[in-house]
Amino acid sequence: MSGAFSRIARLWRSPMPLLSKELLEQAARRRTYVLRVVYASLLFFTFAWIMYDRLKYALRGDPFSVLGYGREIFETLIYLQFTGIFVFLPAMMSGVVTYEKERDSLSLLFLTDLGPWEILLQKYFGRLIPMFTFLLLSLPLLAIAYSFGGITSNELSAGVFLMFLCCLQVGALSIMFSAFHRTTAGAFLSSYLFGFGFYLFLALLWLLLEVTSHPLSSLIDDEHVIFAFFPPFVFADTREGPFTTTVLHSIPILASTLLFLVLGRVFLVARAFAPRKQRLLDLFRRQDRFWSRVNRLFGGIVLLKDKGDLPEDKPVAWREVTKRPLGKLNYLLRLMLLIEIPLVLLAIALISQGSVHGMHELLSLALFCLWGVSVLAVSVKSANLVAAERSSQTLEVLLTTPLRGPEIVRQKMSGVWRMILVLLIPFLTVFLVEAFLSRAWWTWPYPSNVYLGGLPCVLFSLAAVLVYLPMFAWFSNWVGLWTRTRARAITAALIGIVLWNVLPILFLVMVSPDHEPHEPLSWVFLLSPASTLIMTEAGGFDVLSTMSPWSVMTVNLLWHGFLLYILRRLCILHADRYLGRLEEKRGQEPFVGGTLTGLQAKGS
Amino acid sequence: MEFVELRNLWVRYGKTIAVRGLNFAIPKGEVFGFIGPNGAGKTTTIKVLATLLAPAVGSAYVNGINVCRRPHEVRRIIGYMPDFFGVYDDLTVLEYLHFFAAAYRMDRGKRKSVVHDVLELTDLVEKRETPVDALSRGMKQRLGLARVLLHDPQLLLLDEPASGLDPRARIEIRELLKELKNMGKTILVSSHILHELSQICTRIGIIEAGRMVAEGSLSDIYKTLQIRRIIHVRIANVSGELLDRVRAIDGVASLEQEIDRISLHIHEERLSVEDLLERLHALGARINMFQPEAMDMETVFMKLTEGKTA
Repeated sequence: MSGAFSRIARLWRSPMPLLSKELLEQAARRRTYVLRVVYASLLFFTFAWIMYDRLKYALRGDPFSVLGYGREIFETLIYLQFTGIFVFLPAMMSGVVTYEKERDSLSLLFLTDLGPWEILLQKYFGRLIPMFTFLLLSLPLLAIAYSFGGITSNELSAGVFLMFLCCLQVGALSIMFSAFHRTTAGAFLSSYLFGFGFYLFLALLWLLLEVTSHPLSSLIDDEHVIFAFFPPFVFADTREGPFTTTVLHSIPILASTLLFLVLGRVFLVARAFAPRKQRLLDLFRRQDRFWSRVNRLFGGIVLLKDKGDLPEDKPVAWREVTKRPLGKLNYLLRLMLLIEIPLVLLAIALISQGSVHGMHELLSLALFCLWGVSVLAVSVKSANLVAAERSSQTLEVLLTTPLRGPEIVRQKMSGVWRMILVLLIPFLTVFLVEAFLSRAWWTWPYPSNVYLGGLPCVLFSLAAVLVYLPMFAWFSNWVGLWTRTRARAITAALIGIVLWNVLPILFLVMVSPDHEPHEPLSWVFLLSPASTLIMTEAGGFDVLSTMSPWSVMTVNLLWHGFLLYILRRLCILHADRYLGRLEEKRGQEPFVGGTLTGLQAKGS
Repeated sequence: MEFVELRNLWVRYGKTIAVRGLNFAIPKGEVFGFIGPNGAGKTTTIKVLATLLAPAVGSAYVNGINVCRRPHEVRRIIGYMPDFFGVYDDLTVLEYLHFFAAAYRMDRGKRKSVVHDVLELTDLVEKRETPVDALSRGMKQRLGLARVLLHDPQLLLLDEPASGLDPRARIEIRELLKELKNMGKTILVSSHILHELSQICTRIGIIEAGRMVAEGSLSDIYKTLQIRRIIHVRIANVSGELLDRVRAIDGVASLEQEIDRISLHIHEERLSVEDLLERLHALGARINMFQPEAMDMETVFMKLTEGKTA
């Protein structure tokens, strides 16, 4: 016991060189300040908007009517901060250990007096402290909210406490993946995907069991169990009780944080020198060996044959579709089956049940998830195409070959295009099930005129997939073309796509009186690619009531088709420049050695 | 016009000027060694010729083609090997070379034999089915050279081809370069290993802080810098009188007496090595060792550069 105390005391007294280095490095980066300004702008803008919204009524009539509005401001700020933690922190934290691995400097850290726990915790707090400074930005706003009334000091304490815990938990999850993975891109993706799965796994499981009336659903039919690890829920659940209740309910959050940190400590040492592996590819290759052994028993039947062993005319495309795990047709089909089988099982369960209760919600949820997974997969793959070549130092060599820039970009996209076509199958499954079940739509609790159904809807929805997925792919490819690292390319592409989807809707809600947009302003809604999904799955046509749903859908598809054309053209037209090589100069005067006197003067 | 020409080349990265008014020319079939400290502008200059960077001012020509105006044509006649390059870890050696053979639009019928030829030349035939990622650094460099040779380029741009290699791999690369020189290729090679460059280069250029500080054959540069040549001599009948007479020979700068030999420092422009030998014989010296020291490029390098970067 005294040993543990002395170790903690030593940790406390030591100069914490790694923490100092982390903080100094971040202080020297322009990105830190840009992020802080963006975060503060979002926070203060939201606050100003709520204040304006409330005060404009109060100033017209009774000024005292604003009293008690502190609750609304407080809630908005707290949930916005929770969102900020979930969005920003994994991005900030996921590179913390992989950065050292990628530069082969982790071994040097192990050679110092620092132990694995010290390395992990100093790295952990090195990224958490900047996040805490983000949270501190809201303190003055929370104080103002408190002064308006409507919230108790217990609620305030619970909010601040749970935000703090949320930071610890999300940070621990991300650093665990950073210690596990070899590359920042892998840690980044795992942090978001597994984080999403971690919070929603029990909820999705319960929803599925509930809809299918499975007897097991009663076992987890308690929201306290389902969302016990989710800080925003714990806040909503316990805010009105005493603070001790909040502390008691936060034990699962703390326990999960500790578990992640312990696992992080284990991975830090066990996977410090793990070789770079293509796990997916290895897994597929193992499967290949297994299936070819099985196939021998049936006479070696070949259903799908990829292109030849060696490249012919399009070497870049050949590599993308025969050597990459997410480009090879066999492998893509296996991944597709992973999505398709649960969807088919769900469809069978719904159709055989015969009741429409919960059907629409469940199918919509499946479609939302499918869109999410598809956009994520397509964007990450597209953003990675050139960024991966750049970071693995293979691009320069490729650029000195006679392959033209547009050709390289087009060939690179061939794997993505194949992926999109394979993803069409699960989309088609959901659309067909929806069309089949839509015979009973009048029983759904929505106005029937806002629903689309039948074969035309299937065709429109498929067209939307064929426009949106390539559009996001070309957007991500464009981001990857001018970004230096893989992690930055993937982050920038995903943030871009999220903002692209959310901002038009947010703008519309903010500028519309009473938050109910009317035409012509409501046409802004169509600028968001998410509008199609909202229109078809959540009956969003009432914001555009003067036109038929079909006309709205057509306008929407045409607009996004136009954007797809622009993005593609942008990538193709400036491919050489984005890739980083000289462009052919046609119809211009020869490039002669001029005399840039300023440059020469500076040089001399 | 020479095969490679750089005229008043200025290259900048943002506010940093990496190359400042560089001028040089390489005739066809010559091996030009490009020497300079880190950050001198060697890689930047090579990247301009490899069509990867645009100069701020000036122009570069390869075989009379303006690199900035018609980069696509230049790419067909150059082979570029960067100082650090990655390989596609999902390909084998054979697939890697076929990948680039296709990228260079080689005739499909010829690809197989050309790939085999370059594999033989670089001694990688036995490794053809090995994943490229599993090759040692030396083998990867050889594979890089094999790739560069696939389309039979007229100009090879080799940026530090021997960096980070063990002595054996360095010798192998040097021998390969000699073979390429004999094949008549024009080669621009940058390196830090000065001794090896002196063995294969017909001319060298020393660059520092973006400027060319010396250019020419090694002996030209020696003469320009008035660097003394050192000759180690062992004389059987050595005496104080004989040594005084040797000191008095016109062109001998100094004489250092060591335990088993004497070291003569001579001004080569006034007294050639052959003349010195004759004069020693004439003085009655019975010589049992006469060893001129190899051209010391490191001395040249140290004398000409101050360690400045662009």
